[in-house]
Amino acid sequence: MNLKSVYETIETLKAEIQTVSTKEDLEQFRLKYLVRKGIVQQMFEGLKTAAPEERPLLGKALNELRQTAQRLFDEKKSQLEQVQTASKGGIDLTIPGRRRPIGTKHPITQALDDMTDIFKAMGFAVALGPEIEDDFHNFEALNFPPDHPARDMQDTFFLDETALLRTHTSPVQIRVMMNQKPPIRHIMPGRVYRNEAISARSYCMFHQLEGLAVDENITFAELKGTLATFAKKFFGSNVRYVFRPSFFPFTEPSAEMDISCFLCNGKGCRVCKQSGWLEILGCGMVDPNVFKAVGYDPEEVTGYAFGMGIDRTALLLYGIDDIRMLYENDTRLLNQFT
Amino acid sequence: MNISFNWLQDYVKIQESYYEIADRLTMIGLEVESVRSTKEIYKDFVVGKVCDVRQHPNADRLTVCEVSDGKTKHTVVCGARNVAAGQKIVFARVGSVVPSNGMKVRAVEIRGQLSSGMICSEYELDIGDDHEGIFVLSDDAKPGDLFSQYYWDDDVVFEIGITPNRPDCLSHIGVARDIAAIYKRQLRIPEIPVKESGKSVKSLLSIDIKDADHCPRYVGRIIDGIKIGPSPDWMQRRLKMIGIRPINIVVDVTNYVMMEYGQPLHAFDFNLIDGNKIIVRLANDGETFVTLDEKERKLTNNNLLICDAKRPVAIAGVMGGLNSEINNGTTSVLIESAYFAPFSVRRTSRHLGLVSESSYRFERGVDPLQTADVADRAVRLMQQLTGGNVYRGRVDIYPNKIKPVRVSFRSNQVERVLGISISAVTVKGILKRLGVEVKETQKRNEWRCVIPAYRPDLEREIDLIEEVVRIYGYDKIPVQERASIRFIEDDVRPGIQDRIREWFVGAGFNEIVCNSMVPGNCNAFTGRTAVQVNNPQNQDMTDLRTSLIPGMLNVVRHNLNRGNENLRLYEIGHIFSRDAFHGSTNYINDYHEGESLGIILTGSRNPDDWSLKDAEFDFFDLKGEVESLLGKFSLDNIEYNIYHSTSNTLIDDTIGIEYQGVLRGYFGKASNDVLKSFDIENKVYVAEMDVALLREFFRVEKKYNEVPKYPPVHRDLAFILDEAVSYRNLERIIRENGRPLIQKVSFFDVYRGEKIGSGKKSVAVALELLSNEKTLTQPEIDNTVAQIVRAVEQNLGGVLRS
Ligand SMILES: [Zn+2]
Repeated sequence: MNLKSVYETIETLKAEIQTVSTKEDLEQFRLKYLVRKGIVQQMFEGLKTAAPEERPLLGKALNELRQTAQRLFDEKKSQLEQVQTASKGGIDLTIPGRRRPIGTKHPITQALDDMTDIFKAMGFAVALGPEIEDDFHNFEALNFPPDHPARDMQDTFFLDETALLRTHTSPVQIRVMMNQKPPIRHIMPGRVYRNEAISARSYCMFHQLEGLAVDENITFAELKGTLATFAKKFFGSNVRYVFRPSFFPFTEPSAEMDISCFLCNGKGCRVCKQSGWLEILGCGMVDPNVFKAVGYDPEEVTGYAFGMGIDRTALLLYGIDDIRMLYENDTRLLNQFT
Repeated sequence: MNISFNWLQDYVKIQESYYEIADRLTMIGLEVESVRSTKEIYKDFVVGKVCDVRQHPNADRLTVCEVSDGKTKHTVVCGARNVAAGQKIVFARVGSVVPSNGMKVRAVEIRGQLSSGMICSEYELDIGDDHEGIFVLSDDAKPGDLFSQYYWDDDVVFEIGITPNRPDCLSHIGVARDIAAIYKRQLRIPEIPVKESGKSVKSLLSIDIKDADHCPRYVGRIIDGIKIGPSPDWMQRRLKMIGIRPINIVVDVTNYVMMEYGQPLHAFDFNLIDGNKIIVRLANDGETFVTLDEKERKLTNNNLLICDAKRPVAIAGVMGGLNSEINNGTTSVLIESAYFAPFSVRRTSRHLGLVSESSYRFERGVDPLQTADVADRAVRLMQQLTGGNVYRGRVDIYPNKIKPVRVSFRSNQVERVLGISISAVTVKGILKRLGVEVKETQKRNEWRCVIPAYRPDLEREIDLIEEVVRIYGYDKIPVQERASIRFIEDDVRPGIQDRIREWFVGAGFNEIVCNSMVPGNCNAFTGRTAVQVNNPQNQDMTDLRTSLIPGMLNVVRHNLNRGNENLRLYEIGHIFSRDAFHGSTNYINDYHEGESLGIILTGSRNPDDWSLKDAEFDFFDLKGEVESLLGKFSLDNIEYNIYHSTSNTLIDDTIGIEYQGVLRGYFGKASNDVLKSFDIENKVYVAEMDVALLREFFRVEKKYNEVPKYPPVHRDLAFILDEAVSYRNLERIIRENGRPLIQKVSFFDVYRGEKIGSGKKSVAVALELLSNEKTLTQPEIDNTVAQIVRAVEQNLGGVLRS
């Protein structure tokens, strides 16, 4: 191989491309020159055996060969595409297809669905209940005595003396237990209302998912195991968690479960207020007074209950700053949740 | 509840760092929500000395001061009148952040004079209200010392979220008691030796409790010969540290002791108490009283009053009165320490909408056994600090002694509930450290526990189990990642809502979620009587929605205003009414609640399909969606009726969705009036139906019908009909007369024009004929078609178009 043969090959290329008139011809051209074992690459191989003083010029010529081959190929390709478009009755195949709109579930529904699926796989069934409740189901049967400050924990919208908008989905626990005998293993998703000032952090209503398991031999250890399993499946297997004592009238002992902040991996950030932890749910062993209210014998069964807010978790999960955006339903937000 | 770390150490020895203590408190249920350390807050604030003061060359009211921070001198422009050379002051270095307003101190030029740093006022330091003059320190302050160290003794304040079951922890001693329990340390309660003199208090004061249910115990002590003035610095600092404003020596002592013991106290100017008499009685209905905050309060016969011989002087446990308040001329003080019943104070506090530090504690329950001791502690402190005389003895009215709560405790129950066995010794140890007296009984593993009076939350065995594990550590309970479950009977298949959502996702709709509380005018369109909220948050949330559509129209407007013009929306949610409606259930009183499905179409049919680009949604798009959806749930027997309801005014020409003669939903184009009231100018198509309708069919068994063995035959027919003849009638006649071969009738065109003549239309339909027995012959087909044509002619006056 010498300089002359390289330039001759360039001339051959130019002649040969003139004869290409179909996609198939062009493919032959590509296979002949441009693939790894094609002529151009083979000539490059020859560079290794060339005399050192010839190499700079030869290298330059070979590069010219390669560029020419590629350029001729590209030009011909686009030329052929245009010919083809014209040849098929003027249809431009690069125009986008006729697309149908993509439907979405609301982010809250999606978060709820994901949670529900996990609990269903652990043997829980779904129970629903009314949003208008009475004092008995929402408070009294859940061991909130009348005139007890625990009632201040939940600012309530009242409809009359006894009727109210449920402040948690816990009244569904009462309805389920009053309707059937143990074993109980249910989750209770739904909308709840709190008379709290509307801000970026809180809205006058939100969604909860509660769980209830009642049977012989249910212990706090099983509660921890259940929720730890949930947390790992929902937030990822690396999640760390901690249970710490808290107070809810309807459980005793009661706990809050915190998980390591999945935004900063526990290092501390704005969202977790630099603590590295996020409060995600409250839980505990069903208070014997609740069992008494629904006619269960606390000496025969034990149970656990847990509850978490969906909206706030969805915000964290999806990185939405303002809870009100969930209820504005701007389709530019909704369409991101396909 | 704010707790000072230094103050805590009066009652329990603490070697641990404050953050370790904060962490441990959180882990025993006293959640430390924030920690503020004076070292952090006053990081760049030091004691300084004003070395030189001279007039600012360009400003009359300003001075230029040379301030030494112990090491270097700084030039500071100062506006305070009281600044003078030689003063010890608090100097904020450049870069420090002013606690009261969060502003950063910068080096600035003030009228041509560089000022680097600031001499602080009480206000700027967040320790008082004075912002005119600078805060001048006593002469022993050493320049260069950190202000945090000098003034606050490097204190830390914990903000603890005390749950409603733990009134005992609304005090420093209460929190110290839990710390002592965790670390197995001694709790040190202050000793209270009162030096009494002069007359017996009983000769000066009588107390009469008229209602012992509301007031089980009332203690009075009197201290005389005191002079009202500010409390000492150490007390002021402690109060400021936990966010309480110092007032005067008497008020400060009562606050201090409350924050120490958790027992609210009230101090009366005894000279203003008429007849040397305290009467505790219920108010008369409508009785009024002016409280300390100068507001007139109207009372009911549920509200407990403290009165003298003539008039009320305080609302028990909530707030004192203006008429007997401690003032600068007060010399004689009556200290009230009482146990008011939690229910009583709570009712009054709620009735008046007035929550005070005092009512907050009483309604959660104070310790009825320390009432007298705390009164002693208060007069003792006042005596120490003002040198007054404490009269002999105390008046202690305690008609019905409150007996300690006894709980029997079976130690095996710990494992039954928690799933971990804790040794009896450990359990007993924890209970004892919490002040619970544990006595053995005849039965093995069963103890009798006597609950301390400061723990009203401990009433049952389960409460003690909680106490044990709280101190033992929740983290020590194993994480049992398995469960042996008895299978429940309930259906776990996806609910109807999931199925509906799946359909809408496939059909390209966005799910929306709207507020259930709407303004009253939103319900005006639906004709249903709305359920009203008694205490709405604002005028936009007075009613519960009787229909999903108004809320959805708000979302339409919100989106249109943001340029999102092509909308396919659906919502599944509860609607409410005072009247029963289809699919509703009556759970509570006369409220009816049901689940509804709302659908909205507006704008372009499909903006991402360029061949349909300009095609706006119309009525038949909506009808098609409704029909397809119902088709999914195998609802073929649906009737669509044009109906003009007088009650529902959402839609002008409404199509009702009827099943078995009952209206279950409706759809159509939203009326212009309604759209106008929502500020919407675009055309909007809406549909709503009750979810119960879909649910009824959801569980219908699915069954296979044999696929036809013989091929179908298709025929297209066009009839010229009067405009007045509806398509539905035409289809009915065709179906009735095409039996038994007719399988399907499909509309495919309607044509109007000159060829047909005015008042007429040509309607084209496609027929599918089929037999399950054989392949149809030409005569059989022709016969059926002829039969149909004849029937259309006879019944509808239609003419076959050739
Ligand atoms: Zn974080």
